[in-house]
Amino acid sequence: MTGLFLFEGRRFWKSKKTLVVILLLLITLASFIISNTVQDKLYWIRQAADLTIERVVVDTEIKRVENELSLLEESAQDNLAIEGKEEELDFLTQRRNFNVQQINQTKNPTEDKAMERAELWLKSDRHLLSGAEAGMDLEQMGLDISIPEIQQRILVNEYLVQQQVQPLNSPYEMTATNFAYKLLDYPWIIIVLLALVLLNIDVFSGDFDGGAYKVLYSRPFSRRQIYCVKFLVRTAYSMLIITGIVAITFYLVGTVNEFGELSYPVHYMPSFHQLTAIDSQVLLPWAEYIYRAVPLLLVVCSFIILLTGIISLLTRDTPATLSMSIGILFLDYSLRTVFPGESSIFAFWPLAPTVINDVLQGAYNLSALAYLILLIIAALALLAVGLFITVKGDLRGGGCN
Amino acid sequence: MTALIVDKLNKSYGKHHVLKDVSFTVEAGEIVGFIGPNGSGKSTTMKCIANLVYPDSGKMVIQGHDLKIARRLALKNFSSLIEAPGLYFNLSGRENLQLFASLQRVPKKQVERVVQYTGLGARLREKVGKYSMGMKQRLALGIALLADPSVLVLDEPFSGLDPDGVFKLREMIKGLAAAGCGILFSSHQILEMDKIAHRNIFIKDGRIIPQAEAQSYVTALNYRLAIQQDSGDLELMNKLQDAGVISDFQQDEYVLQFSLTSMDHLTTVLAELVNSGRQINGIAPQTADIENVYSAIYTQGEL
Repeated sequence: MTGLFLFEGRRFWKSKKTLVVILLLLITLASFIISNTVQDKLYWIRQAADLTIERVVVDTEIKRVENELSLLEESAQDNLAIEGKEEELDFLTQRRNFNVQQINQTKNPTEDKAMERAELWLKSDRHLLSGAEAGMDLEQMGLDISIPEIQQRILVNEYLVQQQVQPLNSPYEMTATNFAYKLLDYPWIIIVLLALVLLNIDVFSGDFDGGAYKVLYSRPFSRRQIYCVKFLVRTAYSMLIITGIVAITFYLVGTVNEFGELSYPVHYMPSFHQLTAIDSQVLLPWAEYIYRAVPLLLVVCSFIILLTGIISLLTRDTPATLSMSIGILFLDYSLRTVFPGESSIFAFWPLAPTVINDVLQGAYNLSALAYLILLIIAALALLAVGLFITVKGDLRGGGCN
Repeated sequence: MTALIVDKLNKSYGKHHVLKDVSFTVEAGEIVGFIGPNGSGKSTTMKCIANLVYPDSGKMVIQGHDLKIARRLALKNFSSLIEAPGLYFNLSGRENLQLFASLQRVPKKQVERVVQYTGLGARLREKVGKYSMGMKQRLALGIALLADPSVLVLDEPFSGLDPDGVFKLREMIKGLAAAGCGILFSSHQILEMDKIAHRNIFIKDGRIIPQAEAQSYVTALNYRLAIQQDSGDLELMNKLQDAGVISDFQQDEYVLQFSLTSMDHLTTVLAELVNSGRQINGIAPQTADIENVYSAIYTQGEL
């Protein structure tokens, strides 16, 4: 058995493909960081533009309400209507004050002012929410935001202010903790999935490409042993590579930028122990969130390795395995584009839980626990199918001259 | 000791019955040529022995161990080279050797011995994908020898080898057999094969031709004579065939070929030909070499 482990391990590390995938992984992670850093730099410029548009709309609204109010006052007929207009005017004037302060803050968005910004946005959002609840039309004020979104933002800013947690400069700021959080999100999670696929596309087909299976399978090992060792070695080394590179990147990002707060609030669907995601979101400290994400991430990664391995076993051809795997990832992308998260299709699509943040934040009908169970069942089923094919099937073909 | 026993092996792919009760043995130190045209079942038999293809029924015993019951022991000192060389093309020759050596926990000394055998020298550092067919074949043979086999199955081992390679391989096979290794090998270069095989077994349409039947082809060929004559005589030859003097005949404008049912009838045939006024310009006995036997079994199908 030791020989088998040595063989598969050596095959994995000796392959130039492994080195290429490591390089690709590093490049894509660097691109991910650069892309987010650029977004972070542009964030307050965009915010300033949005706030300026909002101010223009609010100014227009103020003029409109002032005109309507003066007309009502001249006629002095409907005191209730006058009262309503006065309230509206008061709300808009207050809104304008917040807006002016927010625009001023965007001119110098330094880190040390982050808490001030959070406090101002908290006040502004509370005011906005009270207006919305009182029946003000936010859309008419040029605001493209829903009440649940305002509530979520209030929740986060309240947490930051109360716990005195240093807020992020923007949702894109590349602190080490935010890098790790965003890596669990779509589309960045594809970097990890694709790396796993590329590292394992030849797990079985590589033996058939050059006909080496004829030597391997005629050695004194059972096919079951060969099959299990292949998956064990590939899973261990793939995880090692991914974990190692992500950990190194995490450290580098933390050193170059900053590590970020371990207690930074992250949205979380607490109904983990139930099969459906029915509760409303709560906030969890980042460290606790990641701790809960790890088991699902491990199962998702193992499932992807198994899926790639089984395709490799069925096709017995590495380019065909690559095409099919990329095809499946593309299908996953299409499904996510076409169907909303609540769609029942995601209860049956085994790649749905690959976007860890969506699962943990209750974007689908099923809970994280349900997906964990489903993935384990699907992985075991794949493992059994592959084992059956390996143990019972004839080995033919492969080995071009 | 019998190195390899194949007993009543049957294998079908769908409705196609590829192997039909295939049985034979290879003794320790014996070199057995396995002869048959493409599609006759040679490779399938060899794949069954190498544990790559499962037979529907039958038994294979390697070094006294049943492949089905004690696979690990049966395959412990078994090596094979079946069809195209099985290698990792993206690795260098040396990496391939080291890879398979690690699989079998082969000592470094043995690896170096095999490196010498392959004769690839500095080219072992190159990727196998760049090798010629002959180089791949040599490397694959080297890998087959890593396990120091006591049973060796070789399918088309001469394929792609230059004359020097063929010579070296022939000597290597002889050397292995002398050391007690039982070797079953097939090749389309049947003359090369016949030079070293202690005996040959023939397979046709998935069925092993029994030794006695194969011998009858050899015996019949011993009686097959070619006579040069200026013209044929169909009527006379038909008469001789009807009389049981000859078993069959073929003739063209100048050559008459026939098979005697007994060597005693040679003078009868010659006398009849002379009496009928035929001019005999020469007579040459056909030799029962392997090519003629092959031709008799697979090309003519019958005597």
